[in-house]
This record gives sequence, structure tokens and C-alpha cells, in this order.
Amino acid sequence: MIDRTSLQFALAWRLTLLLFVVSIAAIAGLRWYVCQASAGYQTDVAHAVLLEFFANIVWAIPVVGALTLAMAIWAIRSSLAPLGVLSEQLCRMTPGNRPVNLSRRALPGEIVPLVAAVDDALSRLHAAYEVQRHFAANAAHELRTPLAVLRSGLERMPEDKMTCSLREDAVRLSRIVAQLLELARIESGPVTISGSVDLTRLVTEVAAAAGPLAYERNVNLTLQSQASVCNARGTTGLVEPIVRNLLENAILYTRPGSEVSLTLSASGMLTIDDRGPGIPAEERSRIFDRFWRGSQARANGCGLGLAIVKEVIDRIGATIDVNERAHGGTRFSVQFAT
Amino acid sequence: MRILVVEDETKLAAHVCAGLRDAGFCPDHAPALSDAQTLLATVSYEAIVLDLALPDGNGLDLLRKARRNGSSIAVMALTARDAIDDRVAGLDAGADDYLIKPFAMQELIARVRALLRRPGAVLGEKLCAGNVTLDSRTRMVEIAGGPLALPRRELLTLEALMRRAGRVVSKDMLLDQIYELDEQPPSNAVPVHLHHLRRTLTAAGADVEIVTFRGIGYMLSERRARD
Repeated sequence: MIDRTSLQFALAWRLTLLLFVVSIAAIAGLRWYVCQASAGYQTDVAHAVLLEFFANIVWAIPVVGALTLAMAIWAIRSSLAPLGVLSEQLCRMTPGNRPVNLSRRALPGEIVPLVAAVDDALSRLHAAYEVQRHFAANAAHELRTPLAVLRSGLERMPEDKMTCSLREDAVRLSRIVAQLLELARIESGPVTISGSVDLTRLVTEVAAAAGPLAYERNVNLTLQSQASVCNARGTTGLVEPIVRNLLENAILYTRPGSEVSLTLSASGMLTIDDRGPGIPAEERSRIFDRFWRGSQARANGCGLGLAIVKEVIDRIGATIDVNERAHGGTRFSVQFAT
Repeated sequence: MRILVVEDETKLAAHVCAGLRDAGFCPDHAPALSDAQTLLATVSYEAIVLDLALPDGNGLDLLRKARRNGSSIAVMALTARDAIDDRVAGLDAGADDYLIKPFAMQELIARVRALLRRPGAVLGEKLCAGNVTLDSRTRMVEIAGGPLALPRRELLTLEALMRRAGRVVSKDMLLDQIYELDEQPPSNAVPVHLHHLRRTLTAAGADVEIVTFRGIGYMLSERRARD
């Protein structure tokens, strides 16, 4: 396969063209010179001399051309070889890791300024990225502590209708802050994920933690795992929010007295079934948008739970599907990558 | 029972101390690591409520130092960061439990009580849930003040559930509590013991119930008010 944008290609066709033009010009010039020089002699003798000369010289034209081309290609390859090292260095860089200084060893002088500029740009990006990342962590502390003061203060106030309503507001505010921070934390994390997590164990733990909420809402919560260990690509910090958000939604939306059932297949497919009001077909494409609130939304959500789910799903190479269930309710299916 | 509250946010510390005092504890407040160290060296505490982000350092350092010196004091870590790694770091450093801010005061008090009630810990004796009490030392169960006799395995099941009342206990965790390592439990052991335990508790008029979450675990809870 010939790369038409490569330097070698550009050089090859220009040199070929040059060789062609020079050969034509030389032949024409020589012929003209011989004609002039042989004025007065017999022209067929002149022609014979010329033909003999060409017969002796013509083999050299392609040889010289090929040698020139080979030298040019060799020069280009050897001077650009250090770029391979640069590419490797750049390939290894990921967000969150300080960019290493790009190697300038054996680089042609023309390219050094470009490499320096790339180095600078990377450092600036890294600095901006660090600011963003620390912001999420600092914001967590700065928002949570006053909220803790507010909530503990409200809890010490005498019980009455007003206090109860304020307490509910504070709990709701805490949830929104927690979700915003979770989203910020996930966004500022690495874009590509390596590592694997045991889904069976994680799903069981998340379901156990949701038990008290299910009990409070009079929801029958069940889990069926097909394998005792089921590994999927991701980290606990990423997969846990998916399961928790989907499960909490299911418990909060399902009809009191009904069942929320989790099924984990051996191939890493998690389905969560509820008996809630369902999601109208025309709204399904929008449920993962941030702050989007559907027609069936509960009063005290904020529309971030599913946005968090989608954000993580994309990062760990999983897929998610939403479907209607036969006798009412919604089924979320997540296929994790293994 | 003396508890040390290490928290730099004075208002939050005041609320936490007031909450603990109302719950019958005797809290002292240290606004920084240095104060906490001084207090720990002079007063003997049963538990620490420890904020991890303090003006003069990380609470984890205090914790590590205390654990290195062989202290087995119960530690409840408070953190404003929720990244899983931070939690794991806290538990690795020797915290017994952690809460993420903002938290409900009842939750904090319940968790501190649970820590003090660990086997071998200070509040070793009485577990309560609804009108059921279980003395983990004498193995006596009472329902609304009246004694209740239970076979050994059902008693162990009840104890395991009461230690984590209001939270889900997995089947494996229950099996570990009920059977010795070298015993081979029958496959339906847990459901059978729970069936008997439920029947006995209901017959005796207990106002707690044991909820089954199929495939997940079991939870002992005060009976939900039916509306």
C-alpha cells in the first residue's frame, strides 16, 4: 500500500519527473549540438555517432535515478526514525499522569520546535486537568461539611411540621450534592479503564445496602446470580454507581408491595426489573440526559442518577438497554464488558 | 462512657457532642490533631469519632499511630470525600467504621453503639431491637421483659441479626456465625432456623420481624407500621 501523503512518495514522484525532464532536455540538446557540429558533414554519419553514444549511455539514466531516489529515501527514513520513539511516549500518556518530557534525541532540527510546542501544550493541559480534578475533591469537602452542620443542626431542633419539612429538604440537597460530586469524580477519572471487578460480589453488596430502603418502601427485593464469580471490566468505584443508581431508582419507582428483581447472568448481563409506571417510549432516548426530568419523575429526584450511569457505561465499554415489561414496569439491562 | 470527638468544624462538633450527650455518652471535643493527641495521652476513651481532614494533618495518621501503639479503641471515621479509595484507606489504617458527611445523627449514634458492642468491646452485654433484648454474655433472650428459651443455633442466628439490626446480613455470614468451621451445615440450614425463629418470636409477641431478601440476605427490623 502506498501512502500518498508520505515524504517518500512526494520525493519519489518529483525525482522521477525531474529525471524525465532532464533526460528529454539532454537528448534534445545533444541532438541539436551534434546537428550543429556536423554541419557540412553527412547527416547520417552524425546520426550514427549519436545513436552509438546513446546506446552506450542510456543504461546509466535509470541507475543514477534509482540511486538518487534510494539515497533520498534513506535520508528521510533515518532522520524521521526518532519520531517513532516520540509516538510511543505519546501513546503511553493518560489523563492524570504527569506528561514526561518528549525525547529530542537525534531529532532533525526542523522538527525540534514542533516537539517543544507539543511539550508545552501537554503541560498546560495537565495543569488544567489537575485543577479540575482537585476542584471535585475540594468541592466535596467544602460542600459536605456545611451540609453536615445544617443537617445535624436541624436534627437537634424540636420536632414539628416545619422542622420535618426542612429536614427532608436538607436530605434532598445532600443527595443532589452527592450525585454532582460523583459525576465530577467519574468525569475527572481516567478515560480508558483497565482492571476487572467481580460483579457477583459487588451486586450482592449493593443489593444488601439497598435492603433497608426496600423494606421502608415495602418492596420485595430479590437477586438471582447464575455464577458465583463473574468478572467484568471496570473498577468498584465505577461499577458500584451503575448498580446503585439503577437499583435505587427501581425501588423508588416500583409500586409499594411489588417486587424489584435483579438477575446477573454468567456472561455479565445485569437486568433490573421493577413494577413502576414505566418510561414512555418517546422519552427513553432522553432519560440519560443530565437534569432531564420525565413526565413520571418523582418530586425529589434531580435527574442526575441515570446521567451518572451513562457516563460510566461509556467509559467501561458496557451497553445499556431500557425496555417495557409485559405486565407493566421497566427493565434496565446492562451488558458489562469482560 | 467517654468519647473523643475530633472535628475542626466547631458547629458540627457542637451538634455531634450534643447528640452523643443526649444518647448518654460523655463526649470531649478536640478541634485538631495536636489537641486529640494530648487528650488521648491523658484521658482514657472508649471510642473516637474522627474527622479525617484536620487543619494540622490527616486523621489517618493519628489512627495509624494509635494502632501501632496497640490501642484497640473503637474508631468511627468521618469523611467528606466519598471516593472508594479514601474509604478503603480509612479502614486499612484501622478505622472500625466510617460515615460520609452529611450523615444522620441517629445513624452516627447507632453505629458508635454498634462499635462499642463488638465482641470483647465495652458494651459487650445487651443487644436491643424493638421489645427484644439479648444478653450476649449470659445468652438470655427477653421479649417485653419476659424470658424466652431458644435452641442454640436459633439463638446464634438471632444474635447475628441483632448485631446488625436494620442492615442486611448475608446467608454466608449467618452460616459462619451458626456453625463451627469443621461442621457441615445442611443446605437448607439457614431457612430452617429462620423459620423456627420467626415462629417462636411471633408466638412470644415480639415486635420485630426478620425480612428475607432472596439471593441477598436477611434483615432484622422493628415491625413496619402498616398504614
